[in-house]
Amino acid sequence: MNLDRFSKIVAAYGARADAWPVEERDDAINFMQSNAEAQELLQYERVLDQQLETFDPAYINIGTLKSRIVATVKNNQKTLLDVLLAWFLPENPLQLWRPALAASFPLVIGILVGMNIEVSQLESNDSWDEEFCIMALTVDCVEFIDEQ
Amino acid sequence: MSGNTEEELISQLQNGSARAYQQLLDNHLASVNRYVVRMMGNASDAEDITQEVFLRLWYKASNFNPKLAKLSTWLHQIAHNLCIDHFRRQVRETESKLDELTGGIDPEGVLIQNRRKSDIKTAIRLLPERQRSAIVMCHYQGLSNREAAVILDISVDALESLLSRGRKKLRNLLQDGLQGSVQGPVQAPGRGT
Repeated sequence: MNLDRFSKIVAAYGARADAWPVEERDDAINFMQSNAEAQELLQYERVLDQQLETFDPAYINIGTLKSRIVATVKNNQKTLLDVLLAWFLPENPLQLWRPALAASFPLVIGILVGMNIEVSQLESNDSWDEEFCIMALTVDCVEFIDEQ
Repeated sequence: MSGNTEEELISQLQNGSARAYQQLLDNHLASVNRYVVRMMGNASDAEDITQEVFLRLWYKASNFNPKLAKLSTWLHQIAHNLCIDHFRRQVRETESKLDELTGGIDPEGVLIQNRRKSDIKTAIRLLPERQRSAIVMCHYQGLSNREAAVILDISVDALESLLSRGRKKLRNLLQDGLQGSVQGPVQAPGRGT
């Protein structure tokens, strides 16, 4: 700590030691106690500090402000439906992939269902023969079915 | 709930806890409001801005990482930015209206002529926004130099320069009132080499 650094500290932070940078505070206090010029600088800055302390603006009632803030939050709270709708119907055109994704869900599900149905489960010689006969609507088919 | 640390409260808030939010309001509302009132110079504008700060705490809590900064630093940063935005909007609106009416009278020049320079509230109000913010944060809010530098997004050296210039300007603005309380002209004591 030297006079140059001490003068910069008090010029910036004022005469109150609790406002000085914490890592330099002890050194600055020790320096000031043994240096007359440093004490003069301190007194000079103290005058402005006292002026600053007279600034005491009117504050609003904090309880009232808190109630207003909490009420605003409650009024703006969205339901799950609101959140989902906002997600799927965005205002930003760069996010149109969301409704496109939602619209493609039925298609994807249909493809997945279709892929999981095995054609062999439907195949049966008898059943196909019956089908053809029914479609043909012939008398022979009726006898064929009766024989089955 | 009252015994929870701030980090626990923040975590609960980020999970949507209204009780944690109210506890954090209790912890920080008065301090942030004092900062905003001193920045804005009037309680009415300060109320709107303070409300907006804490609405952002609720809606944007997930953006805050308690490992990177203290919550008070984050809240003051939001408050500072909102105050600056408000000032710039006011200046634009005032300049626009005055240009229409008068052809361009300097609004700040009118303020200086019509108010007592020795009034500390007026003097602070006449400081440039960043000098004002730095002085309010360091002198009134008790924020450390590092916290104030983070909020203003500058280095500690730059903060000290801002504070020094702000205090010097305040002293000049208050000179009429100060000269009655000190002997001789107001100037810095001489320094030996």
